[in-house]
Amino acid sequence: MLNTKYLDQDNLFELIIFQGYKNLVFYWNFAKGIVNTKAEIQDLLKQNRIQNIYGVSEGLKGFSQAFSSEPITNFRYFLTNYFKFTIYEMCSGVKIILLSNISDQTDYSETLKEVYTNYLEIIKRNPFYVHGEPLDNPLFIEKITDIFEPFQKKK
Amino acid sequence: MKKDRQNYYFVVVNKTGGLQFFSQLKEQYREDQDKITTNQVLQASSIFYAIDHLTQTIIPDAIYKVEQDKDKDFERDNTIDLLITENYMVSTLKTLTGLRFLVISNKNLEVPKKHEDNIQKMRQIYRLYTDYFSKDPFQSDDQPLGEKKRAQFDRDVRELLDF
Repeated sequence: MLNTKYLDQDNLFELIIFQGYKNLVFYWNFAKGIVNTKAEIQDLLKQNRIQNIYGVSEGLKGFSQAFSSEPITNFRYFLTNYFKFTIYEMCSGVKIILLSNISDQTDYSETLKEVYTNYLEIIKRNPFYVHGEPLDNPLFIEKITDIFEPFQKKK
Repeated sequence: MKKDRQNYYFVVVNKTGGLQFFSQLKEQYREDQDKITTNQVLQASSIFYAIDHLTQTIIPDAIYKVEQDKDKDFERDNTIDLLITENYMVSTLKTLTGLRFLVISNKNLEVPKKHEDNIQKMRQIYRLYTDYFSKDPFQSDDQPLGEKKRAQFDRDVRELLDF
């Protein structure tokens, strides 16, 4: 594994949250910014890339199920030559996906679990939140930025 | 006393996504369930081929720009190296012709070292593979092996991967 390959690039690239079937509710490109308004999300969904990310996560689940002797768990990740794809998926259909640098050795399972607990407390248990809407709660965004702050490299 | 085997399965996926060879190395992996069926492995290998192909389209922009300048052939070079779930890990080796070798093994040992180990063993298996497939003029590239040869290849693979 070439762990010294992209040392001069950022550590984290994208954070993506899906809800249900191909329903994108949160997209954070660490270099560009957060996308959580309905119009921008519609634009993003038209690009093939987001559809492919969803497809990969579904395929991963199917593949993991085949070889596992025990019931599959929620967390998995894979490394390619170019990036690292970490996913935390719950039975309710929420998928939290993080694309990061291969030279970054940190294990993101705990951080994605934190993202999920924040999602539960701030979004799901909020009686005014409608399922399927983009996540634009400012408290949620603040918590998420705080969670990922120590992992982003300062250039 | 049975050795505690660390490698569970070995799969070869051909360049069109079909299953070419499969070996279950650890006998009692699924004790109270049925053994894994060939159908399940067929499905799993085509899913793997599809995911592997899709990952070349989701490379992040920053990395894509860095590599694009060097005239990279993403379809040939991009491959899933290592896949980790909570129960096991999958190391893969992709050859220049699009063939994919998978070793599915236990995650208890130190992961990067085990992954390097698996890759070395897969390279040795690749040499054996050419003996059985490519050097035989009657063996077509994408088809699975016949019975006798399959048993022989199976024995060779087990010798290399069992420890």
